[in-house]
Amino acid sequence: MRVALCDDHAVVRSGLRRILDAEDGLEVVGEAGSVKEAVALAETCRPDVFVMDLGLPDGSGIDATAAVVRISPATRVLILTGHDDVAYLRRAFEAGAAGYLIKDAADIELVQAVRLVASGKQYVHPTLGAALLAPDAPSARLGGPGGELSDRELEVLRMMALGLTNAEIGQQLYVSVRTVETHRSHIHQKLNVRNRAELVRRAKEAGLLDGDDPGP
Amino acid sequence: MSSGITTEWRRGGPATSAYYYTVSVLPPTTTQDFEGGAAGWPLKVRALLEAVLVLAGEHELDTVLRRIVAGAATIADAKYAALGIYNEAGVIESFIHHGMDDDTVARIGSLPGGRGLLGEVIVASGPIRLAELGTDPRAGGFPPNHPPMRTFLGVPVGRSGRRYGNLYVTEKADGEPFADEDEALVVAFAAFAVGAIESAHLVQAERARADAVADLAAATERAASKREMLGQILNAQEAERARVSRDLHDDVGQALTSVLLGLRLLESSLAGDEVALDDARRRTDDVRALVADALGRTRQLAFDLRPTVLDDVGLLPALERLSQDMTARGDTTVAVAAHGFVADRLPPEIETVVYRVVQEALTNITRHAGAATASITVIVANGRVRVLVEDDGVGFETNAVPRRGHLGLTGMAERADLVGGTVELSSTPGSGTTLLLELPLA
Repeated sequence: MRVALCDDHAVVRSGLRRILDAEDGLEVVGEAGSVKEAVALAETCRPDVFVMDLGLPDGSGIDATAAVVRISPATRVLILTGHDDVAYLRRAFEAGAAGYLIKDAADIELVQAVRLVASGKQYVHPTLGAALLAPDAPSARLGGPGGELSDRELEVLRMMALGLTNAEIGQQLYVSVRTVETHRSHIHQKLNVRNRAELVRRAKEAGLLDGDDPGP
Repeated sequence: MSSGITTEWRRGGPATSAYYYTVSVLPPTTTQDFEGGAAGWPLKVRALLEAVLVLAGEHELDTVLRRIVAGAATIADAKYAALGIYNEAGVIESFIHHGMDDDTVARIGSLPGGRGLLGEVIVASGPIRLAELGTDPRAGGFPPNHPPMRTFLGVPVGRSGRRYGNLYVTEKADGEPFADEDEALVVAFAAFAVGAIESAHLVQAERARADAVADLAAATERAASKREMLGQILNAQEAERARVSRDLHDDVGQALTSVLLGLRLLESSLAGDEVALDDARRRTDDVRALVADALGRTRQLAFDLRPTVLDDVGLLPALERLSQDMTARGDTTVAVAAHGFVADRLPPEIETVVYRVVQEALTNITRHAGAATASITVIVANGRVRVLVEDDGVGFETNAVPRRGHLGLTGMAERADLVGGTVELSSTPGSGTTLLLELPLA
């Protein structure tokens, strides 16, 4: 299995090379230290796996991933980075990466991750996999509507999604703040949400705000 | 000067002591005519005219007042003259005198306080004229070292509705009491003096207004430059934080990564020697745990300084990360939602302000709210970004000012102001807190 490395730190590259070279059936066939070098390397040696850092001096490893996959579609890109934000992970997978590994685990999980992505599977670092599922997907805990929303409640919901405060909603509907609070609490119960952010997410998923995009 | 002025006067009833006088401007004549005519006028009328003309050329209040006093002395041919200016409460505010040398003034010490005869004139509706000052029952007596004064003429300075003070002349030069014509001339002069004082006041007020406008302009400029400076400082701070954050990631992070890799290589080099490998593993496991911990801390430090995700990916992922961290750390579950994002990036300065204000608001919630959940909503609508950070915690009395102080509202408001936005915090005890941040999208 032919592996290429892209990392702007030579010490890290040499460490990675020695670990991978020591494994049976793995061979490091080239090293790159920038997006430009990575693209050139993909073109000339078309590796099976490309281990890719995200922060590169001339751009991002996400751009490099997209370029590598375009040039050499058979190459599987494994991101190896210090960034543990799910946002980077999503970007990387959108760009065509097959795996995402955090450097804390580079020594232990690297070889396994390289083998996994080479075999056509995807690899995500365990803690990130959990983050990917949990707080970003509140619908997991949001139940279905606990009852139909009344027209007035729908109106209040739309205003809440526009960011209006209770006082502002009350002014627009000519009702007291207390009445708005009551509507809000009914909406929360019916949609099984606890606050505005959950409400907006839930309402968007349920299509309650369709055609209601406030625009820029 | 080719015009002349004549003054006529006529005494009214003695009981009222009122004077009727007319001042009329003569038609222009030739210089020869004027001089020929003026030469025949009583000396005192010429003195009055001169004093009036001198006064008419002055606009500085202090000078005007001094000229009034000097003019009155000349007109009445008096050794001493003085002008007491009263404030609204009827207390002498300033006392301008003429005819006493500095040594005498110094020996007398304090200025008159407006009691006795000096105060009497402002109460009286007309002039007071005395041949013997010391014998009048209203006289309060002189302080020690005061020069002797016998003959006295006091005239109120003012007009209906507004009395400025009194004009006094004492010690007529020829030793005689002040005459009817002295009184009439000083009264006329006092009437003119009122106009001079009022125009000096107007000049002074106008000058004060101009000064106030200039001060305001300067203050506005200072505020603008302070605002600009604050903006530059905050920008520089953000840039520096971003740089340090990346350095932590790239340099410190990479160095620690190489240590991890080195440990792995160390183990590999012992492959085949099972006893030595086991021994090495026991030691390297500890080191590996330490290094992994250091990597994690470095990453958190970098994030706290300024998350690279804010620059690389955008506001929402940064806010999501912030809320995940807070949810994972403690008792408050934080949810993030956005609505109306057409482009997923907002201008960088807007993203920074929103991020920092939300960060501060979440810190407040952690410290004070005792909330089960918190909500961050970012809405882009009508050319504005509206951000609401709400919690379901204990809340507080919004008008409890000291509390507002340590919630970092000032800092949040300053940041918002830099991009033309506002911050508003509302709360009621028992029903949570809402922070509303509104920023225009230029």
